[in-house]
Amino acid sequence: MNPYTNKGNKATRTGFGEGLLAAGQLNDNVIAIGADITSSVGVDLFASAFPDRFISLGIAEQNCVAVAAGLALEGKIPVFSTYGVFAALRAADQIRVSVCYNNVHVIIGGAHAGVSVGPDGATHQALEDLSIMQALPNMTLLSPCDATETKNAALAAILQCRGPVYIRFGREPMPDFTDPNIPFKIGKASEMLKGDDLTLIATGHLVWEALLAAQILEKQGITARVLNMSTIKPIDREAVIRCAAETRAIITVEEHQINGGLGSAVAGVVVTECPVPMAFIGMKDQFGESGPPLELMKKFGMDAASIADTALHLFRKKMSD
Amino acid sequence: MAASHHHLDNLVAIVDRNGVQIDGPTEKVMHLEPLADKWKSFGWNVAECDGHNREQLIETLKHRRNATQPLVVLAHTIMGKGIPAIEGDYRWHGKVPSREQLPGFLKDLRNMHKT
Repeated sequence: MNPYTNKGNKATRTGFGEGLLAAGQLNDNVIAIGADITSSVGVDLFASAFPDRFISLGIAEQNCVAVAAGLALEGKIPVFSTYGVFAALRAADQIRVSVCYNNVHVIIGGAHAGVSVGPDGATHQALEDLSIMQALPNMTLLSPCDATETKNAALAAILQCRGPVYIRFGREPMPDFTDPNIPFKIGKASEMLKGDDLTLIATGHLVWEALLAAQILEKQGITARVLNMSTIKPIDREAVIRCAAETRAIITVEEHQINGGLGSAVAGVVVTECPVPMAFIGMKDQFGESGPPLELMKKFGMDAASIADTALHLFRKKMSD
Repeated sequence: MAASHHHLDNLVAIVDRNGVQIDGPTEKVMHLEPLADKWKSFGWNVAECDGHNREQLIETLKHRRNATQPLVVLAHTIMGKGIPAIEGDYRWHGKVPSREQLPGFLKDLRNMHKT
């Protein structure tokens, strides 16, 4: 059974907004930068509470990142948030050169992750941001699983991290089930469910779907371990190696292209440290489309039933090897 | 920049200048004015018209082109034109009317087209 209770659906972008506000209350140096769409990415809470520490720069993401780098070099803690497609792709050069090369503490919030963005469609669904941000030296890459964890991850990203941080979150209200009293640990995966037959390593919204998939598998007599990989970089190597060694089969689950995202990061550890059969749930080198979030997750094979199906195939492969 | 450099005299851009974006009035979020001067400085032939007036728009597109420059038409519009409850209100950026609002809004639009 699923040991977690959904406290009610809540958008992770709301969690980010709450974390940013809390960080702003704790540290006067926190400054937020808006590129329009501030209410849409949860920055409006901070902007209302601290109007003097909110800078509106318009739809000009490259300039937003450049300004953030300048503020960080002067000792401020700038947080810039917009949709992940704009932050990670349009401003990629400024993030690489002005932020990562200088290794300054700039926090970038990438909203609207994955196909669960829904009706806004392919242009607004961030599906490549993990790949691009992961490739940049000095970058810390966070991908929390629900609104509660996103709030704690935002606090940790803003107040504890050093250097560049990218934190990824979604649009649609989704199950909120983690314990608010567990502080976010950067670089540490958390085991959500015990199991010995295979491991589902999931990130973001899909951790919940992985937990549901584990229930489906349980009915088939397969115990699936579920790992919440809330930090993509630096990846928790020890946790990956332990899962590979103990369960001998790994399925990665992400609302992102399978090229260069969580799956690639995990595979990098598995092939070098403890090779075992793997399968990858995610976008298979294609764009998303417009539609209701849950229907899209099903269509692109990211819902619990699809995850369970892929896991079952991998388990049979493992047993026949 | 490239369009004027290469004398793209058959290129026409139309700016739907409704003055609002999702966070509020454009001039408050990040001002764009003087917009015509900005286009001019990039080598464009700038024309302005009432974007809701088809005759004006056609007239501008027909007669304001020249043989050396690309043309930009700054079409001044009101977002949600014809529905008083929506007109010019940035909070309607990307928002859909509810089923309850729809009949009244459609009536507003029909009335606008009658006059």
